[in-house]
Amino acid sequence: MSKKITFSDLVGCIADEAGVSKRVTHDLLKGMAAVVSEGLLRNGRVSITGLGIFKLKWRAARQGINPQTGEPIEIPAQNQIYFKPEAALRTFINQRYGHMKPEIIDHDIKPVPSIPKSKDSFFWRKRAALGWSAGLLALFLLMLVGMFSLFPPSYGPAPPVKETTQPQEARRYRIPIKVSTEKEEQIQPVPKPDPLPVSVGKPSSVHNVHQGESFWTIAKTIYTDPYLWPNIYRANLDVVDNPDVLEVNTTIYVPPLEGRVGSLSKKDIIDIIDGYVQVYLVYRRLNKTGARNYLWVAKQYNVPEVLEQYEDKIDASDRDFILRIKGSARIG
Amino acid sequence: MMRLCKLLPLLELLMNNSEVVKRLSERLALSQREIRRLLRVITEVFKKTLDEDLSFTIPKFGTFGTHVRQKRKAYNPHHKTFVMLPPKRGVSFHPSSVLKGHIKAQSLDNE
Repeated sequence: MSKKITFSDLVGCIADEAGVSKRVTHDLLKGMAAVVSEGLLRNGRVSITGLGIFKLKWRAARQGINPQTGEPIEIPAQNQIYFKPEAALRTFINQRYGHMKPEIIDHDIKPVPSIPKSKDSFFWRKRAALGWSAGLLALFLLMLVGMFSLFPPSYGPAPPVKETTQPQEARRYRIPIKVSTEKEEQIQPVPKPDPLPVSVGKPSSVHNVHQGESFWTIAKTIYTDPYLWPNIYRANLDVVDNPDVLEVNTTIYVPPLEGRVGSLSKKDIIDIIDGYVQVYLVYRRLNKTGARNYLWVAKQYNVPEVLEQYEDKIDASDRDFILRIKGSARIG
Repeated sequence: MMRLCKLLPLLELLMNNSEVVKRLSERLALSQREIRRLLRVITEVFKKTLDEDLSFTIPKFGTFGTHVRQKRKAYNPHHKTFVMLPPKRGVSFHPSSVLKGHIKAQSLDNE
């Protein structure tokens, strides 16, 4: 608790500053208190410039406990006085901390036991959600297996098609949905030393496409963030033309990320923007609706230099579109 | 009907600064211009006193003081980052038991 000055000291201080007698100041302060109390009783809200707003808040009746005897007490509903200091007063009071800004902490650092609860509870919730979704997935797979055992494949639909095509337009924005005739369990990619001639010198992983897989699902399993799929498509421009059609048993190269999801490096971001622009270009060539949405996402990463490289290839109407549409995307 | 009674005070607009000045000038028989000047001085002195970590009490009204909220860790869900927020000071007002009694009596009357 801070030190206190007496009321008479305060009156003296104000009287000196204002150049009036202490008596007038005393009366004024008392009068001010009386007027505010009166206003609170009458209107419930009193504002004084330079200080703030006094107002009443309605508190519902609640059950309390007598701390000495432990017996329950009924606390009736009543008004409570609430003071909100003016913004100018708040900033004036906080001048000494004005130079301090919120600092971003590297979230890779392991939580120390003394760290606030909120962090722990956040991770807990995430883990619980993961377990929940894993359980759902297992149930779904069980059902599928049951279906297949009831109806053997010979009576089922035609043998698996060689190509995974997309029969309908991707409805959901940014998510190209790949529909296949049957679903199989997604097999984890096997990281191998890079046999393909790829320009990146870093260790990379090569992925063999299975039935039912798409760039979206591959990015989800390897990068853990499906929205980074244009990064994979970009590295396989010579193998795959239409990102919606991915042939089974194609070997695709999955470029490694320098950073990780949540803290991508500058180079990663530039690659991802390039990927989104490539997706835009191919969708525009195929006259797909919603192609410009990918350009908009590329713009959301806020690295205009990459977009400037493609300036002559970008359609004028699409450029107008991305400049017109406001809002922000979830950027990994 | 009860709810309507509770809402009625809201219909009257809040008592703003000029209303306070008007009432004070009636009470103290001073011009409104003078009251305005004095109020400005008072709030300036309040500000400076609070800034020096001093608290003060106005009898039958309440106590003004400051408190410090220590720096803390927060999570930004949009950027998925943890942020260390700097310490911050707040102004506190604790109404005196006299004022609280008046308010309580009034809210019990309304019941």
